[in-house]
Amino acid sequence: MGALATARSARPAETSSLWLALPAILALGLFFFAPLANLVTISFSGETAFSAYERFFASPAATRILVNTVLVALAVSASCTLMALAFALAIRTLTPFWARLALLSVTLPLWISILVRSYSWLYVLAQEGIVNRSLLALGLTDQPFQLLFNWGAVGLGIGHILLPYALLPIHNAVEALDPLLLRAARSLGAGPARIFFTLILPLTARGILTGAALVFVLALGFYVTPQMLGSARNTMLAVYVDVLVNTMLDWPRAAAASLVLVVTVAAGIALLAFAAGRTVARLRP
Amino acid sequence: MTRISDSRRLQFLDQMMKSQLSRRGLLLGGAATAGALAMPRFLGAGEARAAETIRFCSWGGSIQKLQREYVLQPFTEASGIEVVEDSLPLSSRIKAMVDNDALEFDVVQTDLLTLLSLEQMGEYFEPIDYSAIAPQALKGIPEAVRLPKAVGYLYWSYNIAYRTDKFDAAPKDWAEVWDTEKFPGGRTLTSADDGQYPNLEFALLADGVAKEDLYPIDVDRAFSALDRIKSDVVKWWSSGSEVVQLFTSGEAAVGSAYSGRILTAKSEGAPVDLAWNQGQASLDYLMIVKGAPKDRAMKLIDALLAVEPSVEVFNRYNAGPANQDVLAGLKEGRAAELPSYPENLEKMYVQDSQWWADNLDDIIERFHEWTFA
Repeated sequence: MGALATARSARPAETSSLWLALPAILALGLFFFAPLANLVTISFSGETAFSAYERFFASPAATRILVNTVLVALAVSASCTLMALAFALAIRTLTPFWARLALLSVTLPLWISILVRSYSWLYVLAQEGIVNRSLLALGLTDQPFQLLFNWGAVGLGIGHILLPYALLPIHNAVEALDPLLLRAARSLGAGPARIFFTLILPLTARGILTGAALVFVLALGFYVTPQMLGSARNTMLAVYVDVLVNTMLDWPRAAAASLVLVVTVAAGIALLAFAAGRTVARLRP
Repeated sequence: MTRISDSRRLQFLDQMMKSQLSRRGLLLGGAATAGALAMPRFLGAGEARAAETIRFCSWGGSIQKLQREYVLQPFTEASGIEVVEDSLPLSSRIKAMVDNDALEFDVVQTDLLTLLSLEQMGEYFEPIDYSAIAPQALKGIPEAVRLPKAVGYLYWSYNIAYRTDKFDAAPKDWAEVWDTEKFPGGRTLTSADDGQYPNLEFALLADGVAKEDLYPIDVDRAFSALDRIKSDVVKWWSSGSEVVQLFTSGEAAVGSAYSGRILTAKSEGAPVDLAWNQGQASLDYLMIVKGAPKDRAMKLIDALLAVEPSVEVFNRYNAGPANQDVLAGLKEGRAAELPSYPENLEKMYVQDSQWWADNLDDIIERFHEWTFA
């Protein structure tokens, strides 16, 4: 990638093709930055300039919901990243045909609506759902488990939806590993753990962090899944914003809450980018 | 323990999906509208056509389908006024429309809480011109629901709902719903999300408060009564389709639900039923959004309130007409199934929407805090 960029920037025509980005910049400006600016204005339009923010942070419910949202996003991001890494390493050992099929089976759900996928979990995890009925039929339990409407169900639902976002960058990084390097390490007597920590991890760190960041950021804004698979104590920030907009009609506070989420996302990305820079620099052999 | 067949369960899932999809679709539509609001109004087409149209916002689904068939289409044929339909009249939408002087609908069917919460912030509705409503339609509508800016249209209600196959006897009041020894199983009550507000009145009734003494609500007492049931509530529900799903999938054995949804599920063969006793009746009113063309709006309201077409609608839709003559005109045995049937209504209380409009924000906020306690 780096080599490619260097080769391209050597061409004299490079700068003049910058205008190609213009449509994208215009679209972003019109449909993202302008509404965002509007949101900022609304958030300062309470009784006093900062009253919306003061009320948001003075509310124990709101701050708790914010913290929970970040924690869920972190947990989902960590577990998706681990699963994706294990999956990517596992399919490396398959023949190209089977590897492609395995990858397809994980990414295919991307084409199914979030609503449908969240909904399916209701059917799977219900008291009279597939899991509980199987357990009962196998005699493993005589009482169905309460699997729905808790953080576990919410995390599972969000993780199921976001796994492909972790998998794609991690798979790319793992695919780019040079098999000769691994073979060389093995022939020099390195064990699997040593190969993983000194070779695979540093070489795929950028992909891993990209996947983790993507999942974290996307998980922060989930609305449908926590609403369906969680109960009242599993409220996430997007659901709370909906309450502020539609029930309480407190739009300055809703705007403030949304901007708090935007800032959290931005901080998350910045932190991960920083960590990525450091990690890659530190781990590179 | 009987189980609902998979095909039936899938049928309920399917219904819920449809209603959820339409809701989400609408929210997306709302976002697009918000974008349109920001644009200058250089589009003249709407205004040129406006001479012969009126826009009506109801709740989608079967109610709006019936209104279309029995009221809106005949109205257009008779008057030449085209009716443009919309669905889900959330108070936030009405606020956005009126604040930005860009109405999306003129006549709206919604509850008093919407009107009262909005009118606390400013003027959002036009007065009702009662002289424009046919006297034969008006005479069956009780004076008490003929308000300056809203005319009573239909009763809906929250009631005790339960699985008929899980208990030998039916729970007859909220104290029994709170009694987890006599009626074991998951509970469900309303949440404070997605436009819903907590069932504080039911908590008070369970605690022994008489239905005449509910308002003003003793909030502390209500929450401490909720404390006692909290660990048995598997899910605090927000939408009608969701609560039906909770009952049919076996998550909830007893709790609160919309009567209309339970009646529909029951008629489709689900093992669920409701108790009218200690239910909460709410009214949907017809209102005119501020800035709408009043003459045409009143013509549409007049058509919606006419007795004959209403009889057709309420013979098929599970809500109670506010008009006594409509109720009397329903097919045999039908009226007794509906919340506005006098015997059913007597067992319930009517929500004090003013109390809720005054306290909604604090209760929503407190409920969210309470769930973490």
